[in-house]
Amino acid sequence: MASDAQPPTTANYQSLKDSGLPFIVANRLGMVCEINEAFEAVFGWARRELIGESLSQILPAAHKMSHQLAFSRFQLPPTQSAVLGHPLQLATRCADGKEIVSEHFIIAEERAGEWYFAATLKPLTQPA
Amino acid sequence: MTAFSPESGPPSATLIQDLWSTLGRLESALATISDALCITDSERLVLWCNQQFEELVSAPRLALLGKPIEDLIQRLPFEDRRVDLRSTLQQHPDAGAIDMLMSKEPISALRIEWSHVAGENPPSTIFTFRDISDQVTLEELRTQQIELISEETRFAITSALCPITGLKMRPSMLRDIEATLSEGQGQLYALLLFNIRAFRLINDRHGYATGDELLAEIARRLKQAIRSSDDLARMGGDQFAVFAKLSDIEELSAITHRLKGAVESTPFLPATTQAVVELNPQLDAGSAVIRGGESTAQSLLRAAEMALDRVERGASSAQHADAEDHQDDIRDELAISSAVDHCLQHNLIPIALQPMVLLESGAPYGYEALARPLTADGTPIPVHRFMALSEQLGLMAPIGELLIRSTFDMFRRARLAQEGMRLSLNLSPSQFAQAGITDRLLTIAQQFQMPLELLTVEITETALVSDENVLSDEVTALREQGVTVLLDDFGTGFSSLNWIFSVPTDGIKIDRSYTAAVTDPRRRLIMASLATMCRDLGLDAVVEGIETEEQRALLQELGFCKGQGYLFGKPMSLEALQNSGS
Repeated sequence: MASDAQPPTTANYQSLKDSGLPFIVANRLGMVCEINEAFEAVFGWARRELIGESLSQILPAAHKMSHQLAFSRFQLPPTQSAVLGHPLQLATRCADGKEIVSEHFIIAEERAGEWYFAATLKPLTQPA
Repeated sequence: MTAFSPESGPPSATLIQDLWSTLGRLESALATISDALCITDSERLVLWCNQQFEELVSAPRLALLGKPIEDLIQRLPFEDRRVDLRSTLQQHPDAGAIDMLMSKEPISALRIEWSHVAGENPPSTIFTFRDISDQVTLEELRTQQIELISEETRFAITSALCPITGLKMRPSMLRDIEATLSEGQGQLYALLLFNIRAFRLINDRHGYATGDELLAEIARRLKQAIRSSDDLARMGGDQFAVFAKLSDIEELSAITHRLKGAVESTPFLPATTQAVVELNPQLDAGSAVIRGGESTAQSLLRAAEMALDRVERGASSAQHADAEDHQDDIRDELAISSAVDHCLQHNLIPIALQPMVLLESGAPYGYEALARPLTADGTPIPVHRFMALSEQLGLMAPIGELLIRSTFDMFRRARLAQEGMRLSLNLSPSQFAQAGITDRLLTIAQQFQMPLELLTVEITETALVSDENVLSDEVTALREQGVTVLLDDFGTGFSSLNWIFSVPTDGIKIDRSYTAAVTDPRRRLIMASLATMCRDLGLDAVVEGIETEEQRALLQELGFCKGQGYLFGKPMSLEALQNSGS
């Protein structure tokens, strides 16, 4: 990964949330259930626009299908994924349709018997 | 920050969960098959691929998403790089397959198949990549790839844009005109051709770079001046074409005037000349009009080319005059050109038979076959113009052969051979210009069961300008097969008498101009000499164009025995011949 970003040493929900980076959480259905202010500021989405909506809203068109299928596969035991737990350089779709390449660090965490997916998105480029 | 719990999720959460599970199983299943799979959007950018595809292209899926699949495929280590996948996909966007050699020793090959997802609009495409190493031989792969390469070459040729002007070129233009004509039944269209006057001199004087600059500038000016519905192309060399939809014929002159004006009104200062040069481009223009569904793009182009040719040869220096004054000629040429196409498409040239008679009794001993070409709507075309145009268009070989077939076919249907009647067939000069006419003629005669001993071939004197050796060889070969050979239109050439001795013909047909003047004492003297010469040399003599009893009587008196003309019968169709009771 061409980035000097240091991934959180403790790959868990709270450490990501406390990183100060744009932060987003989705539930097991792939619906956004949490974003922080940094996320709103960087990507232009308002909370009301994303909460309860599909995570695919913030994905570039070319990534949606692959995301859905990879996400679906995670539903089957054993739960594992190639995208979890390490930094990924991916484009994120802003509210105005532009895209920002950002470094994603995604974790899956089971809480109260339900899986949640949390990620920090460190912007690497200007919106384009 | 608002917490979100599954319990407060949408009512369809169970459905979504079920769908996720289903999709998950499907994706797991797709990971187990040996084929590599990839799905692209309508722009052929990767949307998804399975693990086998990741392995095939040696890249993780996330790195592949949104990438053009052609680029990924091109990176594969193919043994033979001549096949361009990109153009193959362009030619067959909906579905296709291609086998690619990966290595010769050991043989390794990959079959790439693609097809649109049914019902999607715009459609995404599914690509599969299958190892077929144990299913093919090197020979099969080579054959398939050779076919693909030639298909690609054809496609590249027909789709390429002119690198100088950025305009489409002749093959694309013709293809597009054809498509428009077939859609716009009854609609009036015009094809305007423009040649840059003295372009070659501009190239010679200022160099090709300047010539290219001028081409680009004229293309730019024409592009600005055409209407959005007009189509513009560079047809080659210094020629541009505009294909325009017309509301009426009058519009043609306005369009040509406007386009010429757009190019000619402003001088052009090329940047590539050493000194400052002011070029004043002038265009010659020729045009042809057509109604959709009436003819082909090729015919339209030929007619426009002929109009332009006339302008360039000085028949008219002004395009405006051409458009209006020569429109009838252009239409005639278009009609003749259509008739040529029509005959070739329908594999038939209508034939009429004119009786050749014994002068004494007036009884026919044979028939001369005469072509009676028609346009698609049944209008007769003058045969000399039909043949001349066929020659100009380089179509004389197929037209000539078709003429022979059509003649033998009619003669057989008329059942004249059973009555011992002869058939006289005209062969064109260009047919005799190529060796092998005898073989072709004999083959066709056999197909139509034409008895060679009843066949006469008439060669016009103009054929005698061809290679004398070829001509003599062919005539000798024909005669050896029992075919009679006559020199037609005798007396109209420059050196008829010489040819009697240099080409071994069986006889002559004396031109109608001599018959018409046979009442003139001096001409009669010449005719008498001809009759004597033929008798003494053992040559058959047939007199053409006999229209009156007086002419017949005089010709008999001079010693002629055979003739033809309106006095004995006009050229007749098969039906007319049968009705005449012959």
